Amino acid sequence: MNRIIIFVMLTINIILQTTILNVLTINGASLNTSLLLIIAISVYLEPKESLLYALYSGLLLDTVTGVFIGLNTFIFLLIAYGISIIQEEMVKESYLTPLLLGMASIVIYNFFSLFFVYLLGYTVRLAHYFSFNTFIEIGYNSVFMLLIYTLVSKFYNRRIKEVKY
Amino acid sequence: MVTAMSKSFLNRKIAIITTVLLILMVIFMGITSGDREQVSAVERWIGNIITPIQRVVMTPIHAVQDRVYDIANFAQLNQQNQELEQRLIEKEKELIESRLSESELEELRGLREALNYVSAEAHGEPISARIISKSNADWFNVFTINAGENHGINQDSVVLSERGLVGRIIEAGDNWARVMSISDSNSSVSFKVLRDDNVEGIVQGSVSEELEGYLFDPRMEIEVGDQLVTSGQGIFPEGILIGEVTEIGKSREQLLDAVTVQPAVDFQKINRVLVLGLEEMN
Repeated sequence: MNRIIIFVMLTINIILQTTILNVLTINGASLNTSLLLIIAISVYLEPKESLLYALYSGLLLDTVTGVFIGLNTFIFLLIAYGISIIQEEMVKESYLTPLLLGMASIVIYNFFSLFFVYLLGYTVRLAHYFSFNTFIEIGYNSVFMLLIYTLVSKFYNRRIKEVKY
Repeated sequence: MVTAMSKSFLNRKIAIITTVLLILMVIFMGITSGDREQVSAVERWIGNIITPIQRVVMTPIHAVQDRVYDIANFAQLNQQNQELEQRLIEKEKELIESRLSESELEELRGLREALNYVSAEAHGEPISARIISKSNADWFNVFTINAGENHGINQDSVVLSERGLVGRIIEAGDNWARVMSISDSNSSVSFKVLRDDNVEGIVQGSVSEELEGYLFDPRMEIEVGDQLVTSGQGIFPEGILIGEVTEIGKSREQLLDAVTVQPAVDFQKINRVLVLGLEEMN
């Protein structure tokens, strides 16, 4: 039952990401809610399950929006696998965890997209990737990561507590 | 110890599966990148399911956007309306004074048919379509429209709006199609200057929404404010407005005049387009 809910949630997310959320951009920086969902889900799930959802979400996003198939899927799989390795060492109740994961994932996402787009012979404008817009994108997605992580945590019956140092 | 061994085995298995999947994705990227003649059956099927849902979701969004835009730009629209009315009056006068009368044009058309001459720019009726989704990936400026092969749209069909050139169709499904806009870095358009059609060059999309390009002949003169139209070379028919020159400089090699062009179409606000379907040539 949980699995069906997650598949439906991922599908609805992709429809919203390519429609309504495209309107909610800040200086051209948009939300990559598919990536954020995969991150949040991967923190709480077994590696094989998070890979399955990463595969599904990536392939659907590539098919619906991509110029070619495979880029989003590759990055989602990589990030889901990476999170599954460090999952047990993570402090899941801390607010810092989703923030750092969100920031790191956006950087990794941009790096691999730049790498493969260049490798496949498409024109790449390096200035775009090192512009102020990239920081806006990282910040925007990180803030939303907190929201999505909170919702996913509640879905898995956990609470985020403040970690006092 | 058994548990540790089985956990290690499971971790290794997951690592192998992940590696295989990643390699598969790299292969898919290689196969599906570049210009494909047709989308695969699976992509077509998924597009046929998803695009109607996207259309339903975007309809109220477009309605709200249009209303908000109208209200926010009331004063500007009012002034534009007055300017357009004035231009219409001037254009009507030009039409009357036009040297080539309609009867002369009919005579020339008859001659053309008699000589079995077919225009290279033969196009069918323009097809109106709505933008239903956009790729929010930074590296491509691609969006999806709610019309496809069933409406007579094919790969490389030209897409424009009432303001000017928008782009071209890169993929088409049954009832949807994907458009690469001219502001995409991988898109290039050959142009000529409206003021002097001997001045020609090429422009390409860039990081910002502006287009960047250069003149073929560095001896030719181009000015800020010049309007650029398609030259007819390549897939875009002649005479479609591309934009206006905003900056002129020298290219890095100091050999060619580099131009920066503000597109006539505002790609942030556009939500309706016209697609020129290709007619069959006899």
